[in-house]
Amino acid sequence: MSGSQGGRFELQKHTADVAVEATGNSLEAVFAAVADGLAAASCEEIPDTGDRFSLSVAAESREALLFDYLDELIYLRDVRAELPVDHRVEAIDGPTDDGDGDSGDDGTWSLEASARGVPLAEIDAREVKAVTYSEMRLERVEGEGWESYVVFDV
Amino acid sequence: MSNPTFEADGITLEKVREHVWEIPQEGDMRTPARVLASEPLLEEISDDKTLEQLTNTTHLPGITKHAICMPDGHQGYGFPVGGVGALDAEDGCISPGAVGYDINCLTGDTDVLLEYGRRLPIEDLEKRFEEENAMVAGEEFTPSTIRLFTERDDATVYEVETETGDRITATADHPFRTPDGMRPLEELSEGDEVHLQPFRGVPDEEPEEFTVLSEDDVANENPQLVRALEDRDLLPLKSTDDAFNRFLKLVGFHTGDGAIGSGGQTWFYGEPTDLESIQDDIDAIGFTPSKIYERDRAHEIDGKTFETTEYSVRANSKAFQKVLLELGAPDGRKIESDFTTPWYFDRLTNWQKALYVSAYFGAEMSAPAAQHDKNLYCPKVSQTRVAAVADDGEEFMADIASFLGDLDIETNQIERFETDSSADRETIRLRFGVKNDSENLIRFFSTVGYRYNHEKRRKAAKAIQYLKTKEAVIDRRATIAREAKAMADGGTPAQDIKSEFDVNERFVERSIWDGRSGRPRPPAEFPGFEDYCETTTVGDDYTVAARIRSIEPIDEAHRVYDIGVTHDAHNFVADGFVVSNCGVRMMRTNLTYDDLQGREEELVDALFANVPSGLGGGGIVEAGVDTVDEILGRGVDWALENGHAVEEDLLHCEDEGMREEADPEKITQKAKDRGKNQIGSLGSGNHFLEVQRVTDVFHDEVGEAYGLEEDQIVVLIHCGSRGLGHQTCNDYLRKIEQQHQGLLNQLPDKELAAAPAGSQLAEDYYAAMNAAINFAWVNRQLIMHRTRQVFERVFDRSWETMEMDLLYDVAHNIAKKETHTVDGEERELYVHRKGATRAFPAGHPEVPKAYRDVGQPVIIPGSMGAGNFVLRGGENSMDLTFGSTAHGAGRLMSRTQAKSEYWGGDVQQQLEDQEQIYVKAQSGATVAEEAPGVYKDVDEVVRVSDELGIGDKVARTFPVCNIKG
Repeated sequence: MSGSQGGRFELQKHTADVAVEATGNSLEAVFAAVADGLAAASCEEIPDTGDRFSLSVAAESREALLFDYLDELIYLRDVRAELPVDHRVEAIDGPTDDGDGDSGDDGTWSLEASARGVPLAEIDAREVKAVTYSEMRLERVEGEGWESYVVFDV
Repeated sequence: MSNPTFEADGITLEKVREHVWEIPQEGDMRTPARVLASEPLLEEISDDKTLEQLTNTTHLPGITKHAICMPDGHQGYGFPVGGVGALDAEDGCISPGAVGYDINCLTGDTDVLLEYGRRLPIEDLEKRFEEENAMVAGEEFTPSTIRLFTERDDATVYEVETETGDRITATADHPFRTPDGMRPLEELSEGDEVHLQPFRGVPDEEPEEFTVLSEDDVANENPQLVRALEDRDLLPLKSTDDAFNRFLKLVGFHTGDGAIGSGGQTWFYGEPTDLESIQDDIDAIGFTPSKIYERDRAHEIDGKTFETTEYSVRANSKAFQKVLLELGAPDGRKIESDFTTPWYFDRLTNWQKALYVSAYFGAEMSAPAAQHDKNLYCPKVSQTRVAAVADDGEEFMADIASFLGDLDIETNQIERFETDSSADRETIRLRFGVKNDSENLIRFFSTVGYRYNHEKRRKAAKAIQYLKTKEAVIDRRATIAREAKAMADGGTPAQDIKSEFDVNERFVERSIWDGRSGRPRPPAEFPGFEDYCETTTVGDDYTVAARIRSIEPIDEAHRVYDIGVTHDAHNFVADGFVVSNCGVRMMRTNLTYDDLQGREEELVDALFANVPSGLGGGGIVEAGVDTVDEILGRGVDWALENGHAVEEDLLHCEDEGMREEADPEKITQKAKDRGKNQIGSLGSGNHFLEVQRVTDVFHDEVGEAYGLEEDQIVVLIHCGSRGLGHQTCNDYLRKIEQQHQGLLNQLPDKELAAAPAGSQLAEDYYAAMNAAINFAWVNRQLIMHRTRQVFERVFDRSWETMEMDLLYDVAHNIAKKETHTVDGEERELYVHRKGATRAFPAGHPEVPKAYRDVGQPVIIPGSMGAGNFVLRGGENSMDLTFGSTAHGAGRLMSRTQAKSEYWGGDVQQQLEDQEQIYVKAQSGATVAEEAPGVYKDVDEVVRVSDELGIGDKVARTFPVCNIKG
């Protein structure tokens, strides 16, 4: 399925949980696509209602940034009582972009993002409980941008 | 004949016996793994990544015996669901290591202090860490096995220098032991105190192998004695044997303060603490030491009598005495003996010689003491021998002096003078000491020093720190003197020079005008040794606090190393796989299925309307953070006080509904925010509330004890600590990732992140997890109590008359500190049950009184089609599974697949028409995902549990009404 920021995602089989596999031609696009996958795993028919809100996240590595981003979305869902959908990741800043796809593990990574919050009361949504590190992948693919695989606890 | 095997996509399982399969230990696995399953279940288990995940968990430091997969195991994240892992909590490892702080992310040239006073650069440990014991400063200073060795390239490191001039290079995340507990370097700054253990030891080297005690040496002894030696593996005794190193210490000490008695009695005299260490060594060699004897002795010196208490320990074995004598312990009266150093002394490595010599010094050498103010005495030993053997005594001392010389420790001339003692024979007094210049004394105390003498050793630790501090101060003054002189020579006026340095003016004046020969003295205000000792404390582990003078980054990237020792607490509380403390509780009623029939729809609607479920459905209690804190800290006790529970409910809950170790402060604000509008809510996914009827009671006696009979209505509630628990898990997972990168890099799956037990983080996590357990209990309690109220409305009578009592509440996603017997030894373990249920057998003290005679109730939710089981803890559970059994049917099919195969509406209708099961859910998808066909055959899971004797079948229930998110 197409993500809102040009990336693509698919929900994958996972015995107990739900996995999202996503691609995007930029790091921003793949992050947003994973987040759209999370939304899709929570709700099959997403209405056009709700207002946009923004969020920012910082972490010590690229993978940790993805983890914390998704963790923050789940947290915001519970405290705002809104399902975040239509994700846009405006910018991801890292210490150096050496372009080799390695995760830098020093310095700080940060992102600015926004999403539309659909009130939970309006939808038939399933609770995704947590993001996990299990089997998590975030890799640059030669000539094709970025690819990621994330398992969610449901 | 080899055992039958089962091939599962690259993993071979060997059949140990019926239903027990083993994945042998290989590669980086620390233990074998076991799967408890029948062949059909094993087929299903091996279908996804369960076995790979199970194997991964055996990589966790501290894993004990086996990682175990229950019959209902399936793929999870990190740990498989249905996994049990017991991680050692008692013999664990927070390792303020050899140098007084955790050995963790240090550069390769950092010395590690090993057992027997040897030191070795950490990078050289790699090949042999599994055989080595590192010294650990815990409550005492003790050896501990090493379980972990990691390295990491390109790390940024910092050099830390203390005021004592000690330097260490470490990464920013490297934890240091401080008076406030372990703190990472990045949190420390100049002026902060860290603990140092100043004893460095002697460089490690491989000893030459030769026989020190052979069969020939005991050829004339009686066969019993020979057998006693053979039984203890002491014949032949080699210079490379572990026991020999202990004997070296014992012989050394005995030469000072021991006596050979008649009938095989060998005595050692000393202070009780030190005699305990001697007992430990005698015991480790295989002999039984006596208790510590105490007697008052009267002495007469210069006509005055006074009393002292003398303590002693003896060994009663002739075999032990024989070895000691053969290894050079003096026989008879020492004053008349011609003993020298033992015959093999020359062939020993320096560290072995140091064992003998330091134990002798522990008995005989004077303790560090102030000669005057800021200088120390030469530590001395003396001996008196009759004239005929005085040369032997001198040879003994010369040997020791020569050995010390090999370590660059200078000694004074051996003094020899006649004594004016009794007239009947001529005696000679011999004496020598270690030279008392600071560097020499530091070298002596920190490499050889004293053994079997706690007090002298502590004093030596102080002396080392005192002398180092003094030398550092002097060095600084020497630098000032040199610079001041240079400035004066360059024409700077004296007044400007004085203002340049933070030192008294007179010192500067003398430096520039008087000229200075030799090193300056410490300033007058520098404390004397005795004053220093009074204000300095040395732990029982010989650590001393020192102030950090500087922390400087080092430019080049380094390869850094990390070892984990297994002692004390530094084992691993694995995080990540213990998540929501989810569990089940069952409530009895005295209603029968007849009472219910015809009212199912009314009941299911009323329950659905009144028990919050699904995403954003709120909770039974809307609360502020204060309430959340109370719930986290007090568990069901809070519910009792606020009218959501009755006393009886507490008595039928595991731990009476409250984990004592809980600390609400260890739960983040974020987690509390998520929790506060979910108190008393089912959530979604596989969590549900079900009204059930008992269809079978398989075991009358236990059924009666549990209050279960056929056709009775019961209620089962399956949920956890909701968002709060998940947030807590991820919060700690991330902290562990940030603080224990070295360990994490070793694990095959990041989700297995573990915090070394005893580390602050592990303690915090355990306290947080226990708080989340309290929250989960309250959550289930609120739902149960609300269910009572719904029943009251639907059936129009009080819940008490319907006898709606809690049968039991048990978590199946939890880590608990428990005591288990492993290989005949009691050990404290963190038992992690991820999708596994505690199943303690009859008689276990932790089973609530009401059920102690029959065993702990185990509630196994199955699926909507196949029903559920109540089991009781089986008598083999303690031996086989750390007191655990399955937790449910186990998923067979992914949720995505389930949704493509089932449609919620169909499933719901079909269940109602064919099975008379009334289902109501927030989401049709949930019904499809939880359709009966997506689960493993619960019958088969329970059959295996029952046949293995880990959880015995008691009763079976089938759903009547089911609500879910």
